[in-house]
Amino acid sequence: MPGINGDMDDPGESRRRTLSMTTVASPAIEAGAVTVVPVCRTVVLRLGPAVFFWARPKEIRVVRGGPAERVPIIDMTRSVQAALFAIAAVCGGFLAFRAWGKEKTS
Amino acid sequence: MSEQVDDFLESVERQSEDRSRSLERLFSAADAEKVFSQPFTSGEYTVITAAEVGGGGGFGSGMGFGPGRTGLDHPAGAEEAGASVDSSRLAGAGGGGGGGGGSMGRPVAAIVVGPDGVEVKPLFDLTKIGLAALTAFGGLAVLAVKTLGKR
Repeated sequence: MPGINGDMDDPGESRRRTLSMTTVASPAIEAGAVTVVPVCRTVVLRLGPAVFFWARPKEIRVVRGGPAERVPIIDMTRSVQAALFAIAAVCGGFLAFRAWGKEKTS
Repeated sequence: MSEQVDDFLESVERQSEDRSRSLERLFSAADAEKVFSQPFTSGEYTVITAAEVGGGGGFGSGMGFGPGRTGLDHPAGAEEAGASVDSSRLAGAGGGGGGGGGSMGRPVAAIVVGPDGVEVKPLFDLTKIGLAALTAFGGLAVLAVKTLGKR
């Protein structure tokens, strides 16, 4: 399947860096006439003898005879969490600003 | 004695590199195969689950050299008294090491391949969302009480 893994990173090269971010594709999965290639994003932090890693699904590439179609995988839990914290931060900022304004005028 | 120390240091360094490589191998396996599950087929549908995985690990080791047990191997004042002291019995060395690590995983989405096409169905972790809401709005409530209480 030419071009389907074209923009993938070389894991061997990134393995030597302190902080590396790589995009890695899983082996293609055939389901009937459809081929699905799951792609994930990994972040690896190396600090001396310690290694930390984080990997999350990025997208799937769907091939139905023609060119590969990219379907992003959205982490809804993380998005809702971020939205909640953003709303709370905005409201908190507003409350703090109001309290500061009132303190200034009095 | 110096050669023995050099050999020992070299072996410790080699072991440290080996452990580092093992850790690298362990985490390189945590790529796509850990994020996406094996496809599960039921009838016309194939399901693949996608999860977020993370973790870390490390190890450490230490060693030290020193004289033998004072007062036993090398009695105080023995040299002054002219007693012969076996130099090989003076040296003491010790070392140790340890390591640890952990990992986590959280389902993110299910990929369903069926006759209608390919669908990515997001999964909600209600516990995580509930805890985030509690933290965010709890903090906001505390701030509101503090600012309103000042009046």
